[in-house]
Amino acid sequence: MKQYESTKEFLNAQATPSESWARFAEDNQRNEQTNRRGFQAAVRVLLYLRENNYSKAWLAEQMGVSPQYVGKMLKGGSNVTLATIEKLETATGLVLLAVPEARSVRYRAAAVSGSVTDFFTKTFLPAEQPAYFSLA
Amino acid sequence: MSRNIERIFVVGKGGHLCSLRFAGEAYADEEEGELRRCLRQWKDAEHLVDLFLTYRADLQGGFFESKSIEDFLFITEREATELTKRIATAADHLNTEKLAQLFQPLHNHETESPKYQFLKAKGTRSKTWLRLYGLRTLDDVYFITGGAIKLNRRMDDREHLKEELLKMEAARKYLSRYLRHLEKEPAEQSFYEFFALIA
Repeated sequence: MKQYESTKEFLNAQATPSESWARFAEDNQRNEQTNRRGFQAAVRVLLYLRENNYSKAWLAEQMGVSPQYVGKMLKGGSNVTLATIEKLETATGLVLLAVPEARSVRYRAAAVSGSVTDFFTKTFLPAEQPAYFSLA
Repeated sequence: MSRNIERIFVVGKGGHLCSLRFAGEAYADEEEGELRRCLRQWKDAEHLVDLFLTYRADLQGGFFESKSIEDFLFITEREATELTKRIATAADHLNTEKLAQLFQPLHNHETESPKYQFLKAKGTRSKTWLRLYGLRTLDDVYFITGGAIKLNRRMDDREHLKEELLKMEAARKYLSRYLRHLEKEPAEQSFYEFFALIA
């Protein structure tokens, strides 16, 4: 077994630069808000399924889509349409996408400063989410 | 798990941060190592829902503020996103200053710098449960060996945390077989060689 005189020399011989890390870090930075919305919706749906002992196959049947599609959607690997969100909401009774009343938008917009992304995030994401699986 | 190291990836442009890949571990693709696996899973809704429901009792142990499971999950994703940004920034730096700020000795109050120092990096909140684990060689290269969601105080209380300790030790043994310069005792090294290691 070859031995090395420095860790850098060892890395030059034995390690590989990670190309995929750069893509991962870029997606994390660039699609932060989109990824977050998908994650939060998926969490709410998954907790609903677990709480009610429903499977993803059950959800797929209710929505009229394939179980594979449901799996992909709940992993955040699918950019879903408004029609799909509506099917999800109908199947589960959850509210996943809501537009607040105009008065509420104006009120909260006045308190918001920062980027356009921040404005939409703070305005359209409910400040207080209903708590499923409360620990109390 | 075998704890055999299969591959080593250099992460970022700085050349000081590496991610190990263990044989037998479930990775998303051929290029994924422990660093990306952890950060990816901390933003995977299904993985986290299962994990937090399994360790629900730990959440109610009094260490964390009372929150719904949903709150714990949302915070986890936000922290993972922030930690990813910080690591990406630190990994691209040509010096290790930012990496040194992110990582701290595994054991609190540890002050010495052994040849292979076990480390942890935490999430961004004061009572964070995200942990990345790894080690740093005396010549300042960081190796990520794994990570965990730590919801209890001690690492030896939970199987998945014990496994992380074993992975760190496996990495130390693996590296010590290759890194001759770190295996020499200081007395065996020339003054200049030793000075180069600690400078």
